[in-house]
Amino acid sequence: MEKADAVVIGAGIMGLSAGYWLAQRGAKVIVLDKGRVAWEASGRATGFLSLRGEQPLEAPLAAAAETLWSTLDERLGYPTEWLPGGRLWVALEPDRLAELRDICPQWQAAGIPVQLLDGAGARAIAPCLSEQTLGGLHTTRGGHANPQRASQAFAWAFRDSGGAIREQTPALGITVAGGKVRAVQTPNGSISTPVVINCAGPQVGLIAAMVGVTVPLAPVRLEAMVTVPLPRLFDVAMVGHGLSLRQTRRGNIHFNGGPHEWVDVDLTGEPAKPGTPVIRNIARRLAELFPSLANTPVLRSWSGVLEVTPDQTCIIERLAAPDGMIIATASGHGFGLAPSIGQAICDLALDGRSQVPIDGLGLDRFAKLDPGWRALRRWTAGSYNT
Amino acid sequence: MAKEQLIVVGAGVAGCAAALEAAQLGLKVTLIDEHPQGLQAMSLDAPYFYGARLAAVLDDAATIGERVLGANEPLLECLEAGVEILTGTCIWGSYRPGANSTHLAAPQLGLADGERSWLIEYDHLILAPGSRDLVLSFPGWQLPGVLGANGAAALLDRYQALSGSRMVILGSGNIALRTAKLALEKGVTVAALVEAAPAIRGDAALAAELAQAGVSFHTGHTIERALGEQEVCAVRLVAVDAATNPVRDSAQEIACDTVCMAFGAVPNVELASLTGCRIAFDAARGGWAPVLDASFRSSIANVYVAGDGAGVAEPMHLDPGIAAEQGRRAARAVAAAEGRNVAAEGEALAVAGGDSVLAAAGHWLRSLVKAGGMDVVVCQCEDVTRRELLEVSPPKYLNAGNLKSCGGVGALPPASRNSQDILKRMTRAGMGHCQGKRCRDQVLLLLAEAAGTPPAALVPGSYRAPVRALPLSVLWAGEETDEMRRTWPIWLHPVDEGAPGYASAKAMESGRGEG
Ligand SMILES: Cc1cc2nc3c(=O)[nH]c(=O)nc-3n(C[C@H](O)[C@H](O)[C@H](O)COP(=O)(O)OP(=O)(O)OC[C@H]3O[C@@H](n4cnc5c(N)ncnc54)[C@H](O)[C@@H]3O)c2cc1C
Repeated sequence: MEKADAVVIGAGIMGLSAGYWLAQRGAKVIVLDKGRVAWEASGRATGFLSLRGEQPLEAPLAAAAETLWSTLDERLGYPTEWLPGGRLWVALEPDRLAELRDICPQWQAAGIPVQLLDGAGARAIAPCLSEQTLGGLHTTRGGHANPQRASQAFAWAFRDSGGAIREQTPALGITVAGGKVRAVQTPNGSISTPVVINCAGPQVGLIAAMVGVTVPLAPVRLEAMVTVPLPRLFDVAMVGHGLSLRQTRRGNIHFNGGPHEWVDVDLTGEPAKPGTPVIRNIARRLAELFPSLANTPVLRSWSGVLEVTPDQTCIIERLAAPDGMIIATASGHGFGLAPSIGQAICDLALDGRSQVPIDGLGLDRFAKLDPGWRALRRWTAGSYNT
Repeated sequence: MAKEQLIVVGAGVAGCAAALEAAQLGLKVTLIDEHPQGLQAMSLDAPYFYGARLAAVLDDAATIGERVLGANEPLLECLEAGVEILTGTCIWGSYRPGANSTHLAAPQLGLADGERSWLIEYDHLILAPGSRDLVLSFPGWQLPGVLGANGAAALLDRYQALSGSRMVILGSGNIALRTAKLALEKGVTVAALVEAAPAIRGDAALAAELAQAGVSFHTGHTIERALGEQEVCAVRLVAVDAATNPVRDSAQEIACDTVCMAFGAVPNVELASLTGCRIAFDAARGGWAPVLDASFRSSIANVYVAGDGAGVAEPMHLDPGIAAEQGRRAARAVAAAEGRNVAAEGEALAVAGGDSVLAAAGHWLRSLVKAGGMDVVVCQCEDVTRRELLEVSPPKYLNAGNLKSCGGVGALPPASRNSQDILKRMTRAGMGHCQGKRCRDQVLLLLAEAAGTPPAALVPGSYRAPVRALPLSVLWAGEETDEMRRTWPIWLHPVDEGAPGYASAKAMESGRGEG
């Protein structure tokens, strides 16, 4: 039987990052994916690193990720298009402005410098913003990168340090004996390993169930779009008017937001990722936010399926039973956090505990979660928008 | 939202025949066509490769409207038969309720004219979108004056707006011969017809007719470059042997103002693909084509594809009757599904054979690579050369020269290597404003060659809405309800207070941002 020091399930950015850090420390790692490298959420994300000022449990992970992002191109040897352009929240309506005033102290409390701006202040950062912009909240920290390029950079760097990626090779089962994981079963045979790292994105729950562990997750389908390239307009990652958007290094405006559909996923199939006519409403919002860009052509739209936890916070844990099983899922902000989460996973795999702080991100916080939580929140497959 | 009984997309031969037949069988038909196109749409080389030298008259919407509609006899027949006709209207999206999109009420199409977009639902859909130019590059192909055979035909015939008088045609399949004939009819001189292979590929009788009319054939030749500063003024040809190697000292220059790439045409499957119809490789039908039954019904029960969009076989370029009959069959199948009394069909229409257009294009491409080298741009929009494509180099704007080389196509894991989308993500070839229309086929052929895989084993790039690049102000949902504005979700939903793991419900509510 083929042997590895660790098997990672999922070649999204989280699994690839984990594989990279492990391979850097000399471990023999195999990353499995049922499809292709970064074909799911990791290749479809907007590309923000948020500093998670609103979530104190995650802010340290985000700070660690920020430090790593600024070194990744050189470290990995491949470009990620990281742009440390900060973040700007904008409000076109009084209610939204009030919300920005509310979140400001949370971010300050997390030690992240943020500044409330008036409309003119916001437009000074992004001059294409509507004159109706009432104000904004700005931080020079954080930034954004190209999700496809960054995921692939991890994949190549992992490969360069001796790692193996097996595409179109789903994990079908996990062998446990004596309270420890022993092997991962695939259609091409089993791989013997003492460590299994579950980075299967929306399928994390299905993989965990193989060893009798419940991970509460609700998958959701979101849509995103991109315009033609434009001259440089702004560097910030922007949030406002119901959209998240950035200008890519190439110049395209990459934007997403709006109604999303809760879905189910299965273990081996590629989830359907249909687009919907809602892209017209999303496009309208961009034109309202940037009226001077109304004649800019839209080039394409796509959708992606991602994972959401009940409290919209990461789950990162090395299970006590079975030993050797690590679970990592990031609830919709895994792209930005992947560099540091990968390090945490590597530490958990090799040392049993993480240097990067992950306290409070374990599964025990869901001990009292109502098993019917998805239905209670109307997050079950087919629910839409509300 | 309006719901139509039958929508036919495309007012070419197949679409008009389908619409007319359906109307005569008592169906309520709406026929939609993007022509006459606006100058801005044409300058994006969609749906054809019109090239960069569009005549000024194209700016005059009224004149062009008259020409394009006046030239379409079958469309006028449809009008008389009571078909509702929408011209100058493109279909940019196609949506169906289904897995992970369960809330759509019915299948619908996204439409747009120059000003706005809207949606229509349908009971039945016949797609007759025609073919797309198969484009291969050579030095100088960005010059104004270089265009595709479909683009040339549209400009010569329907739009009467070809700004050129001396044309060199590349290719010798039926589409090339047909273009030569059309050019002569329209008073354009055909300075040469060039074929990389040793012999003419297309219809011998038509080739003889053209030779009689004085067209000179240059078989066993390829184009080394198009010459000119501001626009094309000549081509330089070079003789090639049967293995496509250039023959020493064989270069010759031929003066011309227009170079027509008539390497071949492939079915335009973008809408079939967006609709979710199964697409498979079929060499005899021009490569990736919808999977259809004898009634031209796709893998989706109420969606049909007819004409060149269903697959382009060589004989179809010379015999429009084939596409028309396909359209009529699809229309009769729709009528039968609607309970009309329709006579049983005769024999299934044979998919006429002929050699594969991709095989011929592959031969051409090998000659072009040998004559022009690897540093020729494949993707004009994103400025990617053949070498950069196959080395999977990061795009130039990243100035990543000091970083590593990933080892090229061959170093990708096998499933990634076979995927045009993965290559597109990394190199950006196909990501630009023409939406990949000018580079798609060449990228696939280069990839097949480099990966040592037959094209059939590749996964072509996916198609994304909008399949025409539309301004935000056009795509803009004008009819958006107040309800939608009020409930527009901000990532993600606020979650109930007291959910485990929250610092406070408020903190989560404002935890908007990602996504
Ligand atoms: C439109 C959109 C915008 C987003 N914007 C942002 C953003 O701006 N910032 C941010 O931080 N995050 C963003 N996200 C979320 C982010 O993409 C995800 O959190 C992140 O990519 C998760 O990475 P992952 O590796 O855990 O999961 P994925 O990328 O989903 O990878 C999981 C992989 O596991 C594989 N897999 C599943 N089951 C099996 C099996 N049985 N065997 C083998 N392999 C299996 C899948 O094929 C997949 O490749 C966005 C997501 C979307 C869709």
